[in-house]
Amino acid sequence: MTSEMDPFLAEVMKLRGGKDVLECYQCGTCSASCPALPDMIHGPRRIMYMIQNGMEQEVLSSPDIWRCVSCYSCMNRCPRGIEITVLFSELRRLAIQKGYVDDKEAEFGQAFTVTLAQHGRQFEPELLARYYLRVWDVLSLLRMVPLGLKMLVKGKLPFAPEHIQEPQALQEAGVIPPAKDLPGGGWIDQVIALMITVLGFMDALVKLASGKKEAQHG
Amino acid sequence: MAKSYAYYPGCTMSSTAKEYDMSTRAVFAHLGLELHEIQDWNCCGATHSAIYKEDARFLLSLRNLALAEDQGFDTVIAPCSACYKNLRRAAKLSEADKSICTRVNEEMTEHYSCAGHVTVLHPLYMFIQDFGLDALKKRVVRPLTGIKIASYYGCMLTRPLDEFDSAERPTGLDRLVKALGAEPVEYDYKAKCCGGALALSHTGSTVRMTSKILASAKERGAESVTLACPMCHMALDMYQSKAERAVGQPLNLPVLFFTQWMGLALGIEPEQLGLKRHMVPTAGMVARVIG
Amino acid sequence: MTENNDNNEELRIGVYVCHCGSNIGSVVTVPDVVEYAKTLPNVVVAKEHKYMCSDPGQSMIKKDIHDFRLNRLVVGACTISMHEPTFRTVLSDEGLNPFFFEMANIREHSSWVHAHEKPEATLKAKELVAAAVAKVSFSQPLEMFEVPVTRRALVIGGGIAGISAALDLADMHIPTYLVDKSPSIGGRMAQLDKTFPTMDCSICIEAPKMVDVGKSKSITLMTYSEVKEVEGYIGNFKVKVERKPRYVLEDRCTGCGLCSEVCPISVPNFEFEEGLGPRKAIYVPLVQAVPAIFTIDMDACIECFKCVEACGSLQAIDFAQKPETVELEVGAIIAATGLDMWDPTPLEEYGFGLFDNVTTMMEIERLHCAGGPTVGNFVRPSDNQLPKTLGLIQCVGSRDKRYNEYCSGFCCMYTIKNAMLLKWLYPEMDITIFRIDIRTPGKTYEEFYERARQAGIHFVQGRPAEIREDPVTKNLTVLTYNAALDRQMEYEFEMVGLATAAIPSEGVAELARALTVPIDTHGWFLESHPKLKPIDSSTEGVYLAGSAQGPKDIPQSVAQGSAAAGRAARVLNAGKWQIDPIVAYVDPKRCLNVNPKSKCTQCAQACPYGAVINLPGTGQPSQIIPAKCHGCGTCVAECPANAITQWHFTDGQILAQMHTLLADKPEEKVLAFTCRWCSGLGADNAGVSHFQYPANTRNIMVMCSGRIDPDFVMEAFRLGAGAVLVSGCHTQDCHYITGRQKADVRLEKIMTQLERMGMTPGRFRSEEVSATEGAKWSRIMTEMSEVVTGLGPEGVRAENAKMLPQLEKRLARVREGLDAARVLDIFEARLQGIKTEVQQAYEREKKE
Repeated sequence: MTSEMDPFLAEVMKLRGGKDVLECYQCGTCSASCPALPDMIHGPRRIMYMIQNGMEQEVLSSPDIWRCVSCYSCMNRCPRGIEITVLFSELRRLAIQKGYVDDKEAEFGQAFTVTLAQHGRQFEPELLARYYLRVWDVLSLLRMVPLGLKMLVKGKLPFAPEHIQEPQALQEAGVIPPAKDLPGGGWIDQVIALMITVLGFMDALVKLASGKKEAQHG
Repeated sequence: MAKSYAYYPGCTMSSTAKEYDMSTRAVFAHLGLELHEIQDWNCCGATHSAIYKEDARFLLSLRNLALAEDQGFDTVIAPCSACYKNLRRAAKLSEADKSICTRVNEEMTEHYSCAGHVTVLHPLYMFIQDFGLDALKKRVVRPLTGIKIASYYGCMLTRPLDEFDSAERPTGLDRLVKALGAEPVEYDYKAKCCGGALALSHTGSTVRMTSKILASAKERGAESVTLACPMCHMALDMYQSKAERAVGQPLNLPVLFFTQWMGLALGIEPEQLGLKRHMVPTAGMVARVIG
Repeated sequence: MTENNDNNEELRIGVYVCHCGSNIGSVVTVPDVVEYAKTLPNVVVAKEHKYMCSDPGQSMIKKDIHDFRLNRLVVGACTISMHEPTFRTVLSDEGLNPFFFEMANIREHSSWVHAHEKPEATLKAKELVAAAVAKVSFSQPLEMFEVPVTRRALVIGGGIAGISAALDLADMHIPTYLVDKSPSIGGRMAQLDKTFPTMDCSICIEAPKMVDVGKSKSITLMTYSEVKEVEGYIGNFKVKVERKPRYVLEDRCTGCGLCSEVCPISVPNFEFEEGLGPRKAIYVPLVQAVPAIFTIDMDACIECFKCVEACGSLQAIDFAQKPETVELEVGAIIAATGLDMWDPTPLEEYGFGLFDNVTTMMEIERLHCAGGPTVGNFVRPSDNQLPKTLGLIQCVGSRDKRYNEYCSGFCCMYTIKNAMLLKWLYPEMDITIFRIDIRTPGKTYEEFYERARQAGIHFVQGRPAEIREDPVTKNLTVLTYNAALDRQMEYEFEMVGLATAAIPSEGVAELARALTVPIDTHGWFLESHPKLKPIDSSTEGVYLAGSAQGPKDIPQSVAQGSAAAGRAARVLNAGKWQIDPIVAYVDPKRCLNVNPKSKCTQCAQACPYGAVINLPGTGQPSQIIPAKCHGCGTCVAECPANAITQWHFTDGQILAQMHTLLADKPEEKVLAFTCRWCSGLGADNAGVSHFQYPANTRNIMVMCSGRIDPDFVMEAFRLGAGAVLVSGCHTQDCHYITGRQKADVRLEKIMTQLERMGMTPGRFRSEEVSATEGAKWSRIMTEMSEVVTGLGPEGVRAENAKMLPQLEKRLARVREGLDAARVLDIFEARLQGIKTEVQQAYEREKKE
């Protein structure tokens, strides 16, 4: 190819799932299949078109890439074999790298990954804390409280995190950037540390109580 | 039989989906199959693994396979459909493209051979293919007679197209349910997304998708739903009250993991199956089976 | 300085270097090449011209042939694909053998690809000219073979293309066999109701032609028969046809149909009615069957013999009939095997096979056809009611990488036609066509589409993602993204039709093997050249017509049928036919099978054309049938005794070129062997596209990579080459069917041996380059050149030196080829002289 390719298109074509974007002939099977389309502005069909035409701003600033639910319906049916789901997932990273992001799912994804990198496994209380401390969505938080309480009662929320032996290896492998490069790192980490201590204390109390109960019942 | 499997629980098994973990372990033990939890396993990253770095997607999965390989296993059972999808895809792609393998091995302390020595299997397909539904049927002591169960497959179990089941109109769970003596219910939304991935950030979307599934199953006469993924369970069970409000009618569809139904049918005590941990009460269903 | 050749005739070579306007001249210093050519052995004149192929250019050569008594010609210019015939004709016009001509490609292989390395490009041009001179010095005068032609044709397939071909051949009084595997001819066209865009009744316009075929005195109709084996070559094919037992005697059955009336067994008619209507166990597939002869389906027949009773005195039914093999002798064959319709069951999202009212377009065709299973009452399967709403979906299984990547070409028109017909029959019916694009390439096709829109047929741009069924009403919901309205929509229909893809007829792959004609990646017969030879297959004497070559509509099929008849007639009416003499030849003295104890079958196994008479264990040497030999040279390379040679591409000639090209600074060079077809054209393509690559590369052309003897590769390294490439077609595209495959096996072995000898990987490569992969060619050349420059001359020499003892051992083998020893001796004798001259020439060039 000797002609100049639009830099955004060239960049996307290097992403996993992106090498065939030029083949999209706009049949619309993807947008027809997408259960999340009502939450999107463009839908995968138009996103493909915009990528083909170098419309970086429209693509990366859209909520579409964050509203994708990774159901693979589009990718499974695409007659050109374009790996749409994988590409959307890759576009998320590009959007964060280039600073386009303005969606709560972006914050959730980052909270998820940062939490995972601390322990090597998920820890729901920390995940929720990190997420809500980033988005400050008090209304959503309040709406979740009834469910949260029910989950607590049914023992679905753990108090103490599980660890792998060397969680820092994940950070060294680049799963998350170094702490200094993460937004709001400092003070959120301190809040989390406090929370974990408190939860640990509560966990110990609960264990003690149930231990006493068992002792009583023999 | 004593076939020995590596067990990759995934992060929800000890918390939000503890009942799936309990029932899976109970069923395996009951059938004489060994499950050994992979030591030092890490979170597979769900749908967020590559948010900062592309190869993290592979690294988080291949590390677990490396551990399994190292600890002497050839098959990994992953009950969470999302974890199953991640691990299985990572295995396949790294075997097909050795450069992925090389890159990821450089970043990891553990080493994965990418030589196809480890197979990732969802317990559902292990039961269907390896164990066999006929063999399973023979072990049923409390058939689920007369219970109309809608099987819910979700997305990660069957898509992208793999070797076990149709991606569009899967039948695996239905056949299992039938083997347990129940009546499988056909409905249009059995393989449609529940939206669980956005359950916290965009709850409204999840509720919209979930309510369509539940309403569709209900309309076709389902009395209960069964499924094979903790995220889907969270959406269909924990959010069912929100879904009811969205469709404007009561649903009353207890949502059980397929291993819980298996446990009941095989004669395992309900206490071992975590049936009290659901939001939508399951006591009614349990009574139907046990009497 | 001249030498004498075999016939003790003095070699007098003329070398002509072309500027090609400025295409060559602007990069290569042509006058220097001319001066250099003058110094080559046996060259008596060397000149330049701006356009050698022009009349003045050719006249100059002709004059020189006369004035200088030239008997060999070398032209340094463009690719042989362009002008080899031109200059061969120059020679034959002057009474010289046309095979005494060689061309050096200094345009596609030098000036166009080394535009930034002018001195190096000039040096390359010189050396390529020198190699051509070396090759032509050892050329033999070859005469075209002549074979007699059997003036009879075979048409395989009795659809509209086959019928058209057979009728044209019959008009030329050429006796023709028309073989069809069905009990009746007619093919797909007979199943159609009306044809677009004229809306003619399909069977009404086809049946008269079918009847003509049946009546023609020149056409022998063999239905319910299949071609099993084909032997021979153009003008002289021997074909074995298996006639399946009908259990009905063809010469007695009058087609009265009384047998069918009394037959108690009814089964679905899949042959003609898509299973929608019944037929009896004794049946004709359609009422207008030609021949009007019944057939018994033994899978359904219960042998009650009521039919025998009804047939009465005619006694046309014979349950004892057995399959019969008939051998036909023909001079040309036309493959007109047509198409089948793809079964859309795998496309699960559309629910075909699950939902009663999801049908194929061919089923819809039969349902509204007056001659169909419902006598033209269009009803939907679930309740036999007329559907009030109908959805039609395009591109089902076409343009889809999961199933068939290509566009089937006629379905847009086909569906619009069905929609129009239904609208005429049922004006109240609401019809919607879902499409990605609408393709109307033929005459008045777009106007037909306009009429469809005018008739109120809806068109939605949006490929449906899914179809759902209402379990009670059996109505269907089609989910689509409507691009115009920019939203997801659910459309409800009482019935849905799928425009499925066209696929090659069942059994075509086996037939292709029998005919030794390649099929493409999708199973359609491969034409000789997609642009200029769409009717010829790559096997001489076998022609293609209709959808056998790729899905097409009726006018195209008819046109191709006539075209194939024309192509075949030129052979069949010629009486004799000329065969290219670039064939293999077995030296009867050297063939191992001269010893009755030897049972060598290597040459026969190597040949995909059955051109070898191989009689192991009889004491008779193998023999090549020149007329069947296509000239790939694979047997030459496979022969363990080096007993076979290929005219015009002898071992000696190839060695002569190698020695010439590697005489000077071999360690800095990449020597590339290309085949005449894909990879040779690919290298040319790199030139045409001006993909640049380093100029330290040299080419030698053979007809097929199958010709490349491992000894050549070893000899190249023994001579000090920096790197060697053997490139050919992609295995499945090999012009000689299996040549590339055989080469691969051989070359794998050398690769291993060379690695064991300690050679750096990348110095020897075996690659597949197609005619359009110019970019790939230049990339390979660049990579190999980089390996060579990376090692440097010292590095290469060191490795070669280490390998030398083993390579020298092979020299004895290399000398075994027919003329190899003589050539090598000549080169050894010349060694001093040539090397110094070339070196001097290069030094001079560099100083300027």
